[in-house]
Amino acid sequence: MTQDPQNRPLSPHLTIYRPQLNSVLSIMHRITGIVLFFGLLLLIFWFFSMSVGQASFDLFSALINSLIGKLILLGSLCALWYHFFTGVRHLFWDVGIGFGLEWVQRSSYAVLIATISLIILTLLIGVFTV
Amino acid sequence: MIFRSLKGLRGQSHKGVESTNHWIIQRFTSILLIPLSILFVVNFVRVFDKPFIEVLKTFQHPVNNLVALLFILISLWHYRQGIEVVIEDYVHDLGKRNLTLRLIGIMCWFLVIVVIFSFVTIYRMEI
Repeated sequence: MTQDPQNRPLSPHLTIYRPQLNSVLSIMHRITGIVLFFGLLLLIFWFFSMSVGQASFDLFSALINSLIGKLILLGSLCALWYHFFTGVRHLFWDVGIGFGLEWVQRSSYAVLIATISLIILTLLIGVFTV
Repeated sequence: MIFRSLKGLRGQSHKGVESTNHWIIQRFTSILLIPLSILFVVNFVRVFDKPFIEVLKTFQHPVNNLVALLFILISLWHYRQGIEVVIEDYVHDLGKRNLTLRLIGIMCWFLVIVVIFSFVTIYRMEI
């Protein structure tokens, strides 16, 4: 079978790949990584506005404490803990632990449960701090 | 174990050294971000909706200031490493790829300057 070298299939193969739990978690790791940059940018602006003075901080604080601002923060929090736990799983894979199909399946569920738990835990810490 | 076998790859070619180091440093920033994310997020969710003075006092504390500064700088570094791999995977035109990588590098260094300026100013601010 010969193929035009200019027309080889290159990644991403997402459109021809049947979605499975593991492949979806894997691509979500990348997507959350890219999206988290915007959360980081927001954080950098927050600290910058603080360094400028109270007036600019109050303005920016009102922005991130609006409904849309809080939704963006919540989204960043979910993305952060997700990326955190899939990242930790990647570190285990990097040293050769957890490669068997059965273990990959199990750790996928573990990642999801850990992510949801940490999201709830951090929200509780935020709410119950006086 | 895996690091020793990777060291064997080093020195085979210039490209090989660079990619191996990139891979190792990406794991290094990942590991550093494990404690830093936990410490920073716990701090952040407790103060993000508080008034200026309270937030300022929190991040003037040397430990909180250092944790936040390290979290942001290492996240930026980690982001740059990650986005480089993504761009190498998806941008196949070498000219466009190199241009994008260079622009991202410039943007990251600009942000590093903004972040260091902010944190030094916050630390030295008088209430």
